[in-house]
Amino acid sequence: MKTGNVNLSFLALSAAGLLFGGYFAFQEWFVGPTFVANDGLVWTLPLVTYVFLALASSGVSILMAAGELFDNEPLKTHKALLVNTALSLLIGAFAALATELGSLMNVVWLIFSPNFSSPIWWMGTLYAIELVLLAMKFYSLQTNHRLSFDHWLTVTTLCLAIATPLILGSVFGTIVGRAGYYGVNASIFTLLCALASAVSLTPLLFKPDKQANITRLGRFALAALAVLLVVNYLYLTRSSIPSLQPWAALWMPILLLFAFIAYHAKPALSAIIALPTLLITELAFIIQGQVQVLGPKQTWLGAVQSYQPNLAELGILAFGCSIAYLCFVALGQLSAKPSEE
Amino acid sequence: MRFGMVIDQQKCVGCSGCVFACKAENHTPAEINWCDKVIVTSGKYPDVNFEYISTMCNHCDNAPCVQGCPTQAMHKGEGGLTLHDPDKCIGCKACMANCPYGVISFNWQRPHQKWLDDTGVAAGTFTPISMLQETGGEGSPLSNPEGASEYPRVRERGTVEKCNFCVHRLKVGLNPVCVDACPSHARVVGDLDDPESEVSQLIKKYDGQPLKPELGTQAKVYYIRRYTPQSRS
Repeated sequence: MKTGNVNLSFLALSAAGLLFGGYFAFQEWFVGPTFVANDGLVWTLPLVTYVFLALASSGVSILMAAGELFDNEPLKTHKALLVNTALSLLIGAFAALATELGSLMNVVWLIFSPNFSSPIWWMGTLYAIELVLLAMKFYSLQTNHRLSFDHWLTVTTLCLAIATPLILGSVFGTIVGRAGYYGVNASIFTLLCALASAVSLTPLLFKPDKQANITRLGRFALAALAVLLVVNYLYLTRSSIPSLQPWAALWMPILLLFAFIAYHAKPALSAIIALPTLLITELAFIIQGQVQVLGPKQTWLGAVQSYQPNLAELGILAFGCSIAYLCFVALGQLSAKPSEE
Repeated sequence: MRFGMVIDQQKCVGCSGCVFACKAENHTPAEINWCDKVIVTSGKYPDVNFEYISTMCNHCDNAPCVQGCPTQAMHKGEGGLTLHDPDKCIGCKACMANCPYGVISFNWQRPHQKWLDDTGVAAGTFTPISMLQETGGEGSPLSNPEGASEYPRVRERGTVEKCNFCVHRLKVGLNPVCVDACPSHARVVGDLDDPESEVSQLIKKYDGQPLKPELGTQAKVYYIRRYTPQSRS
């Protein structure tokens, strides 16, 4: 059911998601803990929601900025839509993060008490700058007012959009005590996830042009990610260290390869397969580094934990995604106004 | 001056006296122990190895929690201690993920909230909150005012907490409470920079090693005379 550019079914679903997830967000902010996280498993689905949305936003920003800088006509045509999407996804990501941190103010406070050796500080600050840059871009596109520094704005947006997934990966990659996280492969994984998410999202936004070189390149992120997961799987199955069990089940890269193959013929199907697979892959990555409990917490929680998200955590996933979609609709309406007048 | 500690594994009897003394001194909630233990049973009969390892914050010189904390809430203080400023803590739990020793805890609930309960076991008996009011305690009737000079007696929900080497006691020339409470004198605290200090001498004599030295954290809690096959001979 569509009214103008707005899909009413999606809008109703998002409003329901906002209410459902908003209840649990309220609980987390003002009442008490509702997530299944504990001292051994500190980062669960709410953080994964942030990671998923933030990476998708970075990927879309990369497509938008690269399309403009490399004069890629198919992407330039949809620049406003891509800016709108990147901005909405980032707002949804920050909303999910605020529930994880227990307060919206904690998201803001992070920026003002810097520790330059902390990847989390860099990640949070660069994503905040990215949000401002995207907002400026959105404003200039909406008002048809070309900023004098527009080229540099796009260049900076591209640099930040590439840097943020790498730094997000390094949040995990610099953790020395957890073999499942440590290493540069964490950053490669997050960058590939960002690109794969963006490429998978585009068929849901507009009909992808098969001749668009950037889309073609981006599509290979799906294949590259699948290859990385298979290599990772094969490597870890040969490991003799009990904590290093394969975290990516083989169906994950298989589905990503299927999405890669189906991308040209059935882009929407490819997106529907790839996006949930990417979310589950990111969830599996973040959980695997924590399943082995360290130190005295073993006495309390057992040596190894398993994880199953509860209703509240699923609510936060719905909350983040709903906010992203509702922002997307609201920004879309704002963009549409001048042309209607 | 770098504070460090030596734990003599052959003097430690595993009584958990340090755990309870720490709990009383630092007013930790029921579900949080700053001072705790790891019990390791390994090997196969008849070569079974059992070890009780007292654990606490290792106050690493190269502390991963300090490097990972985005807001400098976890920071290095005087004497090389790794301290936590709850006012700056945003509850991101990066320190917990980064700590390879698993000795940082999170206040998922409001600490000591059970003491706000107004239900007694029977009519006319004390309720938790009436006991709290009677004793004038903060958070719980067991709160110790002495620690409040350096760290809030009741921490906020949504922040982490961990051992601070009883910094309030060190500042007035006392040992951390776990050291004084140990009935077998298994714990010694002192200056690692002073080669004549007891801790330095013990580390040298027994080739003391911290936990997980391979990670390069430069932990400052050393263990000597561990019950390992190497030290049995």
